[in-house]
Amino acid sequence: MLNVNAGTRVTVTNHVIAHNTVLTATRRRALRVRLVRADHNTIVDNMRGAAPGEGVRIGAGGGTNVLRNNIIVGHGTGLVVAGGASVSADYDDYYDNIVRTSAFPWGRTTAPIIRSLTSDDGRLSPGAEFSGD
Amino acid sequence: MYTATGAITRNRIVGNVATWWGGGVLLSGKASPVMDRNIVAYNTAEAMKAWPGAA
Repeated sequence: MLNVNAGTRVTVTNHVIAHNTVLTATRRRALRVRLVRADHNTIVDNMRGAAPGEGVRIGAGGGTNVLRNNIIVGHGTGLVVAGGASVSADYDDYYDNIVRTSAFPWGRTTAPIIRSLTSDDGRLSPGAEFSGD
Repeated sequence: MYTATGAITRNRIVGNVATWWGGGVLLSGKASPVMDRNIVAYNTAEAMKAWPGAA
């Protein structure tokens, strides 16, 4: 749903990105980005047509893409890293993705307890592991 | 469609439909745009697009 072309690098923080659909094979990313940072985002159930899509795709080019404390749930692949892209990803939670990431095995796999995405409330429920409550 | 060159914060970008993109926010002409606390949900095609050139 956010498509970042080469030559631009974005900072994406504290977002809820959920239940979006992209239509074709060439534009199948929920979040195709070239990042300065992505922190504290909740990315859930984004689709490519009728099939599970990609949560985050890191495009090639630019410096290191930094991801921290993101929750990525319900995709075909949670995080896709294009060839040649530099990524530093840690403290992220991947849950219910068919493939966690294309690049590396680490990351948490805990079920997040999200209050209500249907009412745009992407906060974690009290007592959820990542909530800090 | 809304074209912005500054920070994009605290928006609800919801329910846009486009065959490619154009239903939401275009971030243009800025090398390092910042987006914070937006809700992006139930869009078809691309709701937000960022590129380095002008719109």
